[in-house]
Amino acid sequence: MLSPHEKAYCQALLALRQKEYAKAETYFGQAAEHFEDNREFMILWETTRVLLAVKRELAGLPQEERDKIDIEEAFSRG
Amino acid sequence: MSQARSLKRLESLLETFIEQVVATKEERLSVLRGLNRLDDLTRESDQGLDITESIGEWFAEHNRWLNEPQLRAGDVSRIAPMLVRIRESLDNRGEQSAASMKIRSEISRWEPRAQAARQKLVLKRGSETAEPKPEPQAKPEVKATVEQEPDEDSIARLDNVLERMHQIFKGVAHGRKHVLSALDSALRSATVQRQKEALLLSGFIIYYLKQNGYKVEPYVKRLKEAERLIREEA
Repeated sequence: MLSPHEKAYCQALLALRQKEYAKAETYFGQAAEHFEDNREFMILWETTRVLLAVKRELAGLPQEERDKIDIEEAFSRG
Repeated sequence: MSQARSLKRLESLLETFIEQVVATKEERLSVLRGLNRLDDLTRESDQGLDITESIGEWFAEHNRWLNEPQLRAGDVSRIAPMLVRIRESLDNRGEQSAASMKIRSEISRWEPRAQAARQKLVLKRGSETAEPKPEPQAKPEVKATVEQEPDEDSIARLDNVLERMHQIFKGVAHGRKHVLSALDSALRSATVQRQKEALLLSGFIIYYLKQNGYKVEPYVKRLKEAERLIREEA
């Protein structure tokens, strides 16, 4: 049987593949106790946390500013 | 560049990084997904749920692993005990349907692979345990407490417990540099999750360390505390 921590790490990776970052972050948290010395685990966890923080910051911006970025992005990609 | 644009770029960069890391692990993720699914099915089977259809699907999807190299020895040594438990659940329920017979036959196809993995594991562990083994001292103690009536199931039960302890050990020892760190994690599992096998494993490691001259008193205290918590919960 897999330990709960291994199971959580596995589910975190699968959530990342589905781009479900918040879910992945929760699973990383559940696995952390047993993988805190694992560099790859920590890099992925920290990156996910930073990404979620960035998304929260973006979500806090006024709607018109977000719309503006989207329009600029669309133009810059032709 | 505005703060908003910087954030948007950073978001895109981080997403790309994660995407690429995950892409490099695609094959491994497929194995982990299969292991995780089998673990879920084993738990469902332990709870007496009918998993006939689901395990059939698992075999249909994963039997190709028998002929492909992506499985590590450690993966097989995890799959094998789970399949054994599923077979035991079928046996305990007296399942004799065609579907359950088919599952038994699929499980037996994994046995040679599991045996090969076990042999590899023994070789790997050889260099780690060059010191005197604790088993010779343990035997007389076991004899003293074993009842005289034959109970073949007790052998199978102990075998299962040992398998589970081994799985836990691999989990707690992963990435650690000393057996004391593994012991610390095992004790935490026993205390926090009230995991009986983790408690047994901790006891074994403590005895092993004691035999090799380590001071184990602080760990014995934690072991007793974990034992008390597990007993209270039971």
